[in-house]
Amino acid sequence: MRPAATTSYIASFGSFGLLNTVPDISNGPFYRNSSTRMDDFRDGTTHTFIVGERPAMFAKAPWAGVMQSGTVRTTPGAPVYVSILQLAPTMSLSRVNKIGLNSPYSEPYDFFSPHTGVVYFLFADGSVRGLSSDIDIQLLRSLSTISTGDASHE
Amino acid sequence: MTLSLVVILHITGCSRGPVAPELRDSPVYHNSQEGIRFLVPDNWTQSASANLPVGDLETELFLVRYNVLSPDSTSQVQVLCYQDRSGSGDLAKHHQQPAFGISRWTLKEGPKQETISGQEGTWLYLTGKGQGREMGKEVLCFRKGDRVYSFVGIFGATDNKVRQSMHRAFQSVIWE
Repeated sequence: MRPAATTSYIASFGSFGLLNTVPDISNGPFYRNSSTRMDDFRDGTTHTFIVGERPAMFAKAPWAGVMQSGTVRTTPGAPVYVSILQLAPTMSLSRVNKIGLNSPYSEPYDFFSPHTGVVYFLFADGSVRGLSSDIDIQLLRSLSTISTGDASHE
Repeated sequence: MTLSLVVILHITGCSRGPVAPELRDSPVYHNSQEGIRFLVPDNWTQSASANLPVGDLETELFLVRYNVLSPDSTSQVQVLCYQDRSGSGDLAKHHQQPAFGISRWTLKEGPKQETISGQEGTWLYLTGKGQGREMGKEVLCFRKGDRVYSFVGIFGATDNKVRQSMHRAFQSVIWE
């Protein structure tokens, strides 16, 4: 086994589905064997993020993730209450669930940032924008999906 | 002076927010913050661990989770904690609520009071149907102040060997 460089950025799985066990189905831009095209961003490329922060100080994963035969763990000492071992799809994918950004209960499949009060995301239009850790969870979920007709208005 | 203050803050924990614990597959689970220890069988693998926040708990949280290696791949153990401000809430009712992918758990045995290492606990055994099969849930609850700690084992209802190993592990609980 060889050591692998870790990543601090992770692809977005969206806000629906079982990332750990059924990584093939989601409402986000990336999932197993995904082939999302620009036309698929019905919510608008400016209203959909595709990559976000998840630093190695929170969860260590190789920059080239695999979909099976591996795990991701919370990095010991990370500023959260919980350490969890999650399955291989979490190496390369994160999703938005019911907790907000930078929650002290975050798990490896959550976006997370070492920055105070903000998490940075790459949007499908090529822009990088910081989202407040206090962002409304419904708005955050809307920004993670590609074509649910819930385009947010900033 | 400054150094003394830093040392004091470090010792009392005042300078620290949440800190993720390390996952450990050791033969003894020990949580010094909650004052719990128990024996961990060889075929249990720790899959999650948590440090509970001090003060009020808004919801039920887990302290530790183990996957149990057995012919039944769905066997697992969790230690959970919730706050019962009344100090007398119905433990059986609490554990009949939807959990672990099963919409309703049915009480089959207990509640039964038992003293374990000098601490009074409450045993329960429940079953429930999920994904077309019968699952068993072995539960041992302890009250400490207004917190309720539940040692919960989930397994195929016919897997008596796994149930017995969970029972033995729960009987080894020591409160410091």
